[in-house]
Amino acid sequence: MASTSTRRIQKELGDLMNSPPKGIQVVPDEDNFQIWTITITGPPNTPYHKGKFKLTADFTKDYPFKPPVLLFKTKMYHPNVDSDGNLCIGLLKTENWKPATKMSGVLQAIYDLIETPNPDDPLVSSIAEQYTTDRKGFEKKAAEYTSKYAT
Amino acid sequence: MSERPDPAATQLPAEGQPRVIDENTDLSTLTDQEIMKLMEGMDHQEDQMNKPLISTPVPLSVIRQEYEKGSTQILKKLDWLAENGWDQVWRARGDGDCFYRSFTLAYLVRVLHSNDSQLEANLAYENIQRALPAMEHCGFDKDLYEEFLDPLLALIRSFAEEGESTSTEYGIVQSLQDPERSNCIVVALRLITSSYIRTHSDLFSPFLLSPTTFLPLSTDDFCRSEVEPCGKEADHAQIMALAEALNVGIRIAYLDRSDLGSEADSVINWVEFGKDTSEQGRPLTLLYRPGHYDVVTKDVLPQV
Repeated sequence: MASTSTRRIQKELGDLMNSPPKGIQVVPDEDNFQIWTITITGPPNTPYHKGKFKLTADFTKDYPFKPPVLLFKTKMYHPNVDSDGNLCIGLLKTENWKPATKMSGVLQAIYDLIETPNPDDPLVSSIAEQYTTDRKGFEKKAAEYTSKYAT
Repeated sequence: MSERPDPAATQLPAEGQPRVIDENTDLSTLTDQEIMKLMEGMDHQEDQMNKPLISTPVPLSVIRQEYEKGSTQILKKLDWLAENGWDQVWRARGDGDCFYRSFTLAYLVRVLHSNDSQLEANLAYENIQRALPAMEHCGFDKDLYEEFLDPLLALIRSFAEEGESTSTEYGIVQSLQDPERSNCIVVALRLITSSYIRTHSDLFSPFLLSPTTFLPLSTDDFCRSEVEPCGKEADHAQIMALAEALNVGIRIAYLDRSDLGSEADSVINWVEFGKDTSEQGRPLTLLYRPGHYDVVTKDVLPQV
């Protein structure tokens, strides 16, 4: 039935596996290629450096007309990621989602968000506040989380 | 011991449970996740989501009945339409994509009812092909937009095929009621619209405003926030761009409360887009009620 969805996911998956973006690895679920496990390696010069952050991407049957659902499975201390792994990123919000957005673009945007948090649109306001007012304290705590949960 | 729950405690959600948001909730405490959920709820208002994406036509009198107790201005306009031969309305689902779905239906019905639908189909096909370079120019991925365009091109090709065309109004509606095909076409039209606006920025930029704040938006911001995402209503800029991009006239009958006098041709406020909106040009004709587009046609009896 959902042949557009299926073809699209397969194509996106093929592209990402053939030429994976730097620091990003994608593996589809063995039984269901509509669920991916994504591993992002923490960018250099950040408190996430060398951490391995796992996410799942769940492509609903309405994909690409509705955005995929991405969830961090690895705990991280970040203003735009909450303790349940939800992440706050503009291009994945239902009202902003564009069906022509490719997954490589989505994953790159998440990588960029890890590298440069966006404290103006936070999911965890306490972390955002610390990020803005006490960068040293933020980096210390984020690095602690990284070594505790992401290695 | 009283079994009554502590009222204060019931307001606090259990750990991990979403809290109940109602009219007493302080809006400034809403998290992004909660706002997202609420917005999704708005998109999926159930009465709309149970309706077909586009319906087989209903008589214009059905629309009139909805207004019988309402505005006399609107009744006057509906009566004028009826007197001038407009007798059927094809309803589109009110999900924010109604302009694009209405456009598609009217575009295909226009081909179906032309004197030479094979020729008209070929013209439509060529017009779409001509819109493709702009899409590529704007950086849209060719594989992706071709995939979205495919269902529309397939429908148009079905008119142009050799021999007797089996296309009918019913066949068109059935195809467009299929969510996958219909949604693909909506995305394709949105990309055509966006790339036309982007490649004619000088023409459009003075008119690109945010529909919520009425502040000017850059061409890129406008296309990214108001054209490309599904569910975003089309306004004049989008309609004009699509009419120009596909070289087809569109006229829209505004069913609003304004009183335009009683002269025969000025009862209705027609808003026109594209090159030829005269009767001979066979423009697409849509019916606009604030926030919603449907298609209105004059019934064409099959030739015997």
